[in-house]
Amino acid sequence: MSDSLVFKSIRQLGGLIQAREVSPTELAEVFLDRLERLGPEYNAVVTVTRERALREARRAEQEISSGRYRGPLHGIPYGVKDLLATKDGIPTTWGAAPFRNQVFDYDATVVERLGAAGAVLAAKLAMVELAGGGGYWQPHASFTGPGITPWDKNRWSGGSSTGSGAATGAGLVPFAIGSETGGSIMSPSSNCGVAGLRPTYGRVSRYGAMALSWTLDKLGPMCLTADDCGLVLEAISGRDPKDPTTTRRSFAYDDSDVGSRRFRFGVMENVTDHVDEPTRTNFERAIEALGAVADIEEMRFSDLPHEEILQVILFAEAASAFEEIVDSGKLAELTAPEDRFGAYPRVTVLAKDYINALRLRRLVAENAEEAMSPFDALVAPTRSGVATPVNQGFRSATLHAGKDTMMSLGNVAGLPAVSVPSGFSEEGLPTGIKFMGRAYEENAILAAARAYQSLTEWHERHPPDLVPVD
Amino acid sequence: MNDEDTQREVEERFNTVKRLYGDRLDDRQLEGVRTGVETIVRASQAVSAVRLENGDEPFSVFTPYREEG
Repeated sequence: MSDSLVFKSIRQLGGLIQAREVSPTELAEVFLDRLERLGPEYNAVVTVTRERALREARRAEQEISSGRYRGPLHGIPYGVKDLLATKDGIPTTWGAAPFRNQVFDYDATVVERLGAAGAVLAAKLAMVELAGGGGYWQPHASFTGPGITPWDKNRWSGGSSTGSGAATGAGLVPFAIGSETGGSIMSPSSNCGVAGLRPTYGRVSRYGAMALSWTLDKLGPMCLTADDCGLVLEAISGRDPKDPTTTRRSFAYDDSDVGSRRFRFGVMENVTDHVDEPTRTNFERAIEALGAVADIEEMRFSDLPHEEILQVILFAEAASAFEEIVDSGKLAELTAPEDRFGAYPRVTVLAKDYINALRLRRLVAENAEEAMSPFDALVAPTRSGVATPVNQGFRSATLHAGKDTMMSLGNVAGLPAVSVPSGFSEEGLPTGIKFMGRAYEENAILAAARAYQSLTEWHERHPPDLVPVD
Repeated sequence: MNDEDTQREVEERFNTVKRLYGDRLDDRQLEGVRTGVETIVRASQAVSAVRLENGDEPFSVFTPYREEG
């Protein structure tokens, strides 16, 4: 029984727990064993929180036995990117050697909320040091080693939520929490062949999360299915007085059947101009499949410097967020050589340029709202290519040199997006398709992604050597 | 701004970084800093190239604080 629990969705595992066909303790043991045994092979884990996991699992078991079932996350193990504060003496390393012994005496709001939903914290997961705040340009940028995709040990997991993607894709946890400032949930979701949701900015509290860029940082779930992302988002979203950017708009996941629904999707013109062949081919096949449930039209955004706006905002805010780290000289202890100097130039961002970028941000958001309003979602390849070799600088790969307007616009405007697997390259590397929606329209993009997953079986494929044999 | 002006701007900002932190960076790292400064200068130029009206406010609204509840 225990082996067959791996690569089951949260909804499936929750059903087994609710029916008492499997106990939270049994489930925790299965995933703790995989985290400890397989986690190092993918550089996916910083700390396995065995003691806390078993304590939370036993409590869940007692509650469920006494008839107090909290919902679909009750008794489900999970991991969090190691930029989320956790108490109980568990280190929170931010993926960076200078902070490997850092300890907080409180749980981040997301961890608290998952605890309230009955989920079981099993691991702090690896990440690119300082969530990429050093400006890394190759995978060897974490004191736990480069993130490795479960699909090929010579390929990168994507980042900066390396461990969240790899652990979910390798079946080490049923779900994980990642963070995104400029692509850090989308990238590993695509490279690791999992579903990843970047919520609307302000949907999920960042209290207790390392700050990289206050007006860009977002936390979101990485799961095996889009449906699971909805279940997790409902548990972690909502107003939090400790994070004043959180919205008062509540989120209730609408998991109603999408069977008879017809969608309207937009595809940005030239969206595949700078993507590699397998990504383009799989995207074209996805569009063909989606034609069964949607009307699809080409669209365009206004001609604004989306990527540069993102850079100026990110660099200015990171210069402030990391001022103490920079001044302390701790950058010299980081793993990636380029991270040891990458933050210094940011002190030269001028205040007027930052303010101008924030002024343009309003134009970006208004233009995006107008351009996207006819559609349920925009559809695009999640990334420009499959996972690059683990020893290759990914920004030097010529195929990936084009600007990613959907990524930069989506993050500047704080728009939600969900990525799900769209197929594989001939080498067996996953590609992703993303559905990006208007602000606060997570239910629309999740419905779209669920509809796509009902038409395809890519999400049911898992790395063959990681699927347990009964 | 022509390319000569851009390079002058890059050098001026680069010298600021060098003055503040140069004692802890070697030559190779300083070259990396120069490249980083150039990225910032070019991004800032792209942002400044878009015409804004005087009334176009930053998309971040200050709200006076009151404790909730």
